[in-house]
Amino acid sequence: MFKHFRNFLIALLLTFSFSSIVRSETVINVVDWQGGVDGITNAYADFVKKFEAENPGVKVEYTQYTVTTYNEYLKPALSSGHGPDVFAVYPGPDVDEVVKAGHLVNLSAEMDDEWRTWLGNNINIPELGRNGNLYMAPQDAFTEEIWVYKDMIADLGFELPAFGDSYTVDEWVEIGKAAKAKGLDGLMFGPVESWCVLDGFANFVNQQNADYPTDVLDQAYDGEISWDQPMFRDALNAYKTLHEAGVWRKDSLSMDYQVQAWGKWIDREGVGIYCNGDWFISSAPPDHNTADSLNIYMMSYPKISADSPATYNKATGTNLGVNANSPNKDLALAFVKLTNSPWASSTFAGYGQIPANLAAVNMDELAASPNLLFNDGIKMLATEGRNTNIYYTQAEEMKALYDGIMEMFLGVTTVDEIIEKMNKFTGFSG
Amino acid sequence: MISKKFQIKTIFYLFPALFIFLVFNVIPGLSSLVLSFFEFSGFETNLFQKFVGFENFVKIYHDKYFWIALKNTFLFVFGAVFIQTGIALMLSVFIFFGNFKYSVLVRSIMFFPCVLAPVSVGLVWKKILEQDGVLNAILGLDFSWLSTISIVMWLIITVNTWQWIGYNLVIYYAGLQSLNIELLEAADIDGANWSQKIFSIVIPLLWPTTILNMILNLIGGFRAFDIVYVLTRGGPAHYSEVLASYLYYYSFAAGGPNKMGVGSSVAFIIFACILTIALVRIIVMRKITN
Amino acid sequence: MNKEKINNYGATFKSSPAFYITTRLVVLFFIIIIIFPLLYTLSLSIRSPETVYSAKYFLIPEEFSFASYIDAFAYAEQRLKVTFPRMFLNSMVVVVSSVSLIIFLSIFAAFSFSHMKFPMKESLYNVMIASVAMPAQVLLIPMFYLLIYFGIINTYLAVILAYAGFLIPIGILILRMFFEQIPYELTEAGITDGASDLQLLTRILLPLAKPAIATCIILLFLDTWNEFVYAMIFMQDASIHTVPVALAKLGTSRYHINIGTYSAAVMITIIPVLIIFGVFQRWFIAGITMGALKH
Repeated sequence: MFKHFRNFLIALLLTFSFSSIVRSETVINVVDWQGGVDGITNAYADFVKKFEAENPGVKVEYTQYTVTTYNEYLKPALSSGHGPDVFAVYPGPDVDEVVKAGHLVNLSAEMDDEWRTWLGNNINIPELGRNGNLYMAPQDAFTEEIWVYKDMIADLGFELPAFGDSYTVDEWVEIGKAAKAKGLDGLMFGPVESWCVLDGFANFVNQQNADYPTDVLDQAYDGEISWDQPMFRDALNAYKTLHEAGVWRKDSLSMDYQVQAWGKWIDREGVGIYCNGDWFISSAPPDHNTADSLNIYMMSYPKISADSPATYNKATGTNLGVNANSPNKDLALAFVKLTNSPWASSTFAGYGQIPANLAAVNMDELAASPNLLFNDGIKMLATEGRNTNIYYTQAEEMKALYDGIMEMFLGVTTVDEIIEKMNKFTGFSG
Repeated sequence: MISKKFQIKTIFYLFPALFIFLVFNVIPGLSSLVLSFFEFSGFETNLFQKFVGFENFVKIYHDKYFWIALKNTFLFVFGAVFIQTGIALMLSVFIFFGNFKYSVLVRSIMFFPCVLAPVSVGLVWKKILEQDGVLNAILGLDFSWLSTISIVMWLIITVNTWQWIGYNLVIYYAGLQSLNIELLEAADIDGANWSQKIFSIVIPLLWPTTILNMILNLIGGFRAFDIVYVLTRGGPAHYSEVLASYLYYYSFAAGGPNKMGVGSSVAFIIFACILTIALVRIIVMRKITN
Repeated sequence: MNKEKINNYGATFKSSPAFYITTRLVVLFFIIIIIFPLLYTLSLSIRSPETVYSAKYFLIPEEFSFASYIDAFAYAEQRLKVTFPRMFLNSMVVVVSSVSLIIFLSIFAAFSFSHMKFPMKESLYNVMIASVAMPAQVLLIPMFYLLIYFGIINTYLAVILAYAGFLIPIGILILRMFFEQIPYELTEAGITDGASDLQLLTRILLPLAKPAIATCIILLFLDTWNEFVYAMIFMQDASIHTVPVALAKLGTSRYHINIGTYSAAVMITIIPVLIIFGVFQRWFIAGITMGALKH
C-alpha cells in the first residue's frame, strides 16, 4: 500500500515539475493571438532570429494563440502577476481594461526619438493608448473590406468597379440574385463574430457622416447624439436589404468569420467574402494569387448610394505591449522597438503582411513585390478616402447594437425598435 | 462499526478526500456567490477591488438573453427528462419484448455514442445540419436548421438525445431483467393483448427505473455545455444559449463583455436552481413516504 | 446476459403480428439514426480530396483514399500545435491520474463512512450526495482563480485536482454502499483476529470490493475522458491539450480545413474509443448498470 502511495506522490511531483522547467539563460516570452496568419508567424520567426543574434544569451519564445480563446490564456497569466514579457491585447475595450489593471508599460514615456520617427502618426491611434499615451505598439495594418473572385464576377456578367471604389448595396442585391441562380452565395458572411457586423455598420455610418472627421458613432455610443438620424437608419436598412435579398445565406447567422465564412470562400462557395481583411493576404488561396495573375479583387464595404464617398476601414491588427511587471523590461522594450523598425516593416512585407509603421518606409518599393495581392493591399492602404474607426471601447453599447442587428436579421425586431433601444441604452436624453 | 465511539485516527482516513472535496468543490461553490457581488474583467491581480452589491443580479434581470438562456436551459432539461426517457422506455420495451435475436448487439450499438466526446458528436452533427449539409440533401430542402430560432433548441435536444439514449436504454434493460414474468404470464391467461400488457403492467412496474433515468437526465441536462458550444456557440444571436454557455460568454468569450462578476451571478443562479429542485424532491419524497 | 429470460418474455408477445412489425420498424429506424452520422463522417474521411465536394451527399465514396487522414495528422501537428498521439497521451495522463487519485482517496474515506463513527457523518454525506447534482460550470470562475492562486493553472495538476474535487463524492457514494453490504461477520472475524483498521480495509474489504472499484473506474473514466469545459479553460498550452479540447480548436481555428480533413480528424478521435468500447463493452455496460442501480 505504502509503496503505491510513494510512487503516486513521485508521479504527482514529476507531473508538477514537468510544467515548470528551469532555464539558465534569459528568456523573453512573446505572445499574440494571430494563430492562423502565416505572414505573421514567418515574420516573427525572422524577428526572433535577428533579436537573438543581436543579443547573445537571450532567447525569445514566441507563442501564437487563436483569437477566440486568447483571453483564457491572458487572464490567468496577467492576474497571477507572472504574465509574458511582451503580449498582444485584443483591440478594443480590452486594452483599456489591461491598462487600468496596471499591466502595461507606457511606451510614450519609454521610447527614444528613433522609435518615434518610425511610428509616425501611429503614436496617436486612440485605441492603442490611454490618456494620450501609447501603450500598445502597432505591428501590422490592414484594410478591412470585401474580396471577390474576379472570374466569378465576370461569369455572372458584372464589371468590376474601379480600384478603390466599391459596389452599391443595390448592385450587391443583383449580384446575390445572379449568384444564387448558379448555386453560389453572393457574399460569405460570418456574423457570429460581432466585429463583422459592427465594423460594416461603422463603415455605412461613416459614409454619410456629415461631420467627418468627427467620430459620430463614438458620440452615439456615448449617448451624446441621437440614434434616430438618417445616417444610422440608412446603415441599419442597408443591412436589412442585404440580408432579406439573400446576398448571404440565411445560415450565416450561425457562421463565424474565421473558420466558416472564410473557409467556404476558399472553397469557392461564394463570390465575395465580407468583413475580410488584408491580414489574410498571406493565407489567400495560392492558385488565385500567383506571380503572373491575380484572381482576387479588393473593394470596400457596400456603398449606401452611388454617390457615397469612398470610405475605408483601415486599422492596425496585432499590437504588442510590454508587461509592466516583466523582469526583463529593457530587453522586452528593445524587442518591441525592433518590430516597429523599417527593417521589420520590409520583413512583414516580404511575407505578404502589410506593416503598420510606414512613416520611414518607401511605399513604392513595397508595392512592387512579387506578391500581387499584397501590392494591391498596399495600394488600398494608400488610397485616399474617409477612414473609419473600428475599435470602440463601449463594450456594452456595442453588444446592444450587435444584438439588435442580429435580431433584425432573425426578423424579431425592426429598425425603429433598434433605434429606440439604442437611445435608451446609451442614455441619450433628447 | 469498528468501534462504538469516535476515534481520532478516523480523521486520517477521511481527511485527504474531505480536504480535496472542500477545497476544490465546496469552497469554489460558495465563492460563486461572493464573487457575484464584485465586478472584474479577469485581468486584474486583485479581484475584489470593485464591490457592486446586487448590481450584477439586477443587470441579468434586465438582460433579455439571460431569460432566453434560462428558458432554454429548462427546455433542454425538460427534453432530456421527458422526451429522452420516454423514447428510451419505448425502445427498451420494444427491444426486450420484441424477441430479437441480436438484442445484445442492438443494445451495444445504441450505447456507443455515450462513450464519444460530446465535442465529437457536436462536430459531426454540425456538418450534417449545415445549410449545405447532408440533411438538407436528403430532404431536398435548403433550410437553415441551426439559424432558425424556433427550432434550434429542439435540434440541440435531439442531438443530445441521440448521444445519451443508449445510457437510459442500458439502465432500463437492467430494470427489465428483474421484472416478474409471472405477472405477464398471468395476463396472458386473462387474454390481454400486447398494448394492455405493456401499458398496464410493464410500464408501471418499471416506474422506479423511470424515476432513476429521469433523475440522471435531469442532472445531465443542467450540465449541457459542450454540445451547445460546439453546435451553435449559443447562436444565432444568443437564442440557443443555456445558462452554462451564457456564463461562459459573459466571462471568457473573445469580444464578449468580459464581466466575470456577472458570470458568477449566473453561476449562482444555476446553483440556486439545482438547490431548489433538490429541495423540492426531498419534500416530495417525504410526502410520498408519509 | 440471460438469453433464457429474454426468449421467455418474448414468448408472451409472440401472438401479435402488429407488435412484431412495430418493434422491428421502430428499432431499425433508431439504429439507422444512430449509425448514419458516423458512417457518413467515415465516408467523408476516406474519399480522395478531389471527390470530397463533388459527391458530398452520397454515402459510398467515388474514390477511396486515406489522404485526408494524412492531412489531418499534419494539420494537428502544424496548426493545432499538438499531434494526435500527444493529445491522446494528455488525455490518458489526466484521466489515469485523476481516476487513480479519486479511487485511492475514496477508498479510505468510504471506509471511514461505512465502518467508523464521527460527528456530523450523515450531514457530510448528504452534502456530498447533493454536490453530485451540481454542474461543473457553477464552480468554473472561482476554481479558475483558485488554481491561479495555487500557481498550477495551465498544468495537468489543475485539471486533475478539479476533477477530483467534483468526482470524489461519486467514488465515496459507490464504495460506501458496497462496503456496507459486505457482511459484518467478516469484519468481526478480522477484529477478533487482532487486525488493525488498515489491515481490515486492505485484507478483507478491498479484495471483495473489486466489482465496485471496477464500476467506479468505468464511471469516472467516462466522466473525465470526455470532459471539456475545465480542460479547455484551465489548460491553455497547446502541448497539453486533451482530445476534446484539441477537437474543439479544430472547429474554431483560423486555418482553413476542408471537410475531408475535418471528418478524418473527428474519426481519428472516435476510432480508438470505439475499439476500446468494442473490446470492453460488457464491462462498460455492467459498470453503468451497477453504478446506476446503486443510486
